[in-house]
Amino acid sequence: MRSLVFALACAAAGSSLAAGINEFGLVNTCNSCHGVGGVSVGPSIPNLAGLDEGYLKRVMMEQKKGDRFSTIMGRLLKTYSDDEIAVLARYFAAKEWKFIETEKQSEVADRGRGVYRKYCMNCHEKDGKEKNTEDMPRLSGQWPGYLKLETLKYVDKSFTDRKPSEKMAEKISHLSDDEVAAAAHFLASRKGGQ
Amino acid sequence: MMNLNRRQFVGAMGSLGAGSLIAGFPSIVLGAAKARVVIVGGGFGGATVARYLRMSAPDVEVTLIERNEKYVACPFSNEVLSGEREIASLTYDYKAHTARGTHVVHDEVTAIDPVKKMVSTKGGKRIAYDRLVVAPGIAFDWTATEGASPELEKTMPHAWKAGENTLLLRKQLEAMKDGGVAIVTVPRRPYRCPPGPYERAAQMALYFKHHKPRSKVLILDDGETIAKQALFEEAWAKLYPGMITWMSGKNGGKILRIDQKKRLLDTELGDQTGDVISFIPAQKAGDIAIATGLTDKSGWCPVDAMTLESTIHKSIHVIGDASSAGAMPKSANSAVSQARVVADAIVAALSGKPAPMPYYTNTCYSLVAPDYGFSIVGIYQPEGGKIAAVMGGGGLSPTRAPAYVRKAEAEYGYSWLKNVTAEAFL
Repeated sequence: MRSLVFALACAAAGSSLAAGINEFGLVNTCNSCHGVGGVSVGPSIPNLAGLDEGYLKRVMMEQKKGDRFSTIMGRLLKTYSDDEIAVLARYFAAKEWKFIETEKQSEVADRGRGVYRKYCMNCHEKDGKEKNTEDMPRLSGQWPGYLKLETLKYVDKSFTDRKPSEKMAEKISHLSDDEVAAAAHFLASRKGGQ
Repeated sequence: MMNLNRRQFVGAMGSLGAGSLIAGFPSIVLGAAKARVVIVGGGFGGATVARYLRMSAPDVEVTLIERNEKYVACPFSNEVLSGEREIASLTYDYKAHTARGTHVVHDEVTAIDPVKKMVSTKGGKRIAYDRLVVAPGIAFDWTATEGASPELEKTMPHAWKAGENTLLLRKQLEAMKDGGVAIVTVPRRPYRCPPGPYERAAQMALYFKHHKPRSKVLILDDGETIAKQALFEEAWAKLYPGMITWMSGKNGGKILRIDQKKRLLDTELGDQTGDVISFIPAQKAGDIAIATGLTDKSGWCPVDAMTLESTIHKSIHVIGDASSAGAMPKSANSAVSQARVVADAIVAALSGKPAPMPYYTNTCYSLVAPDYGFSIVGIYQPEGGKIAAVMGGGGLSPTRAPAYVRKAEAEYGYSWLKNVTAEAFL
């Protein structure tokens, strides 16, 4: 009953369904790093707009609890409520995915495609189509600097923290920096998951 | 579309020409003139207010008054000193704001009348407002140190407003002999960009390491503790061993007077001199804030924690470095965060709604080298009428972090710069 009253009050005020949350204020706190509306213009910070809602929520919750390594997100999210994180996930997931603009270097992309097909594709695609699910974030058109930094967590020997994915730790920890960079470039310059 | 009862609707229709009807529903506030928001100062804070008002309230008329046609962003401008960055990469204009429908006026505000709600400019304009945002940044308080004066910026460049003065300091470092000493002075608190002077020392040392390896950096600090202290001390020792010395106020860092002719900085423990000196003066709110009576005896502008409205003059909001924003540091990201809150608060006030709950955050990266960065995060909310840090929120990067983490934070820092400048200026 209590939640119903809240929900009605919020609906009447045209604000977020989560009680008392100022959605405009909340979602825009991400913009300075992730770009306005979750469309980043910096190569090492990911686009959020158009990622899967479940994925965004899961990753933020793991970062908040400290179950997933982050340099900064854990510190940012510690005092955000679960409801606020749910609002953020829903807001960015509802936005349209924008493929980054990047100039494709064919030779590097070819090498990267090879790495991707051998080590990544089996899990990240289904029936030839890239997944965008709670477990698997979309990769095509994402920023290469970000993809590289995420992958280096499995490759860089100085990174000793817990790996975000056990499966990736098994499959790709032997890759060279060059292979990582090539795969990141291939994915960043790939349009439409082809 | 707004809610109108039948009578208002008919009245509004009657007052419109046929052209407006064909063009669709008019985007004006019916029965009244458009609400006018005027913004004084086009730095990170002022520019960001304009952007969010245009995004969320297209019916509001927004005027941004800024003296200069180009803006040079301060964050990471210390990299110009090491040669890692060109100043052009930090230089923005206001074309994107014009394109978005903001009236950009390049002029200097000479007076604000809070009673008549009117802004006057040097160019002879008088601009009326319903809500005013004052975001003038800092002014230097040259009276705080005996012997200091504005001419000092030519001989001991502060480079604390990025631009020509940054380039002058860079030239002086280039002209310095190997084996020389560069001094960075740190003023009384609070000042713009708390970790900035210590990042500057690192960027100077980075330049020396590659080009003048026998040279040193000396920091003369008014204070006893520094922002990100453990992180800076660890980084200095690791990357620039023996090159950077920090002297706190009580240990000879506090400058009592300056002899400009002899280039002497007189401290409690004797005179200091350097081949290059970057004297960062004490600071106060920008001139127009003081002239309008928006400051209190601290030299900064007290504001309401919910809306950043001046507690002295109604309908005037003060944001960015000029404001006394409780626990928030004076930083570009604080200003941007406050700008979003103000845009939200103004839209609510103009439509007669209560002030929305504000979200204040600050993220600040420091770059000690191109592959070595760290950060501080602050989360803030109104508490007992003040903007207070949320207990348990935010915090510093860890010390003794692996190389991967330092490099990742440097890369995130560079991407943060791209996003935060795009948010404000593009």
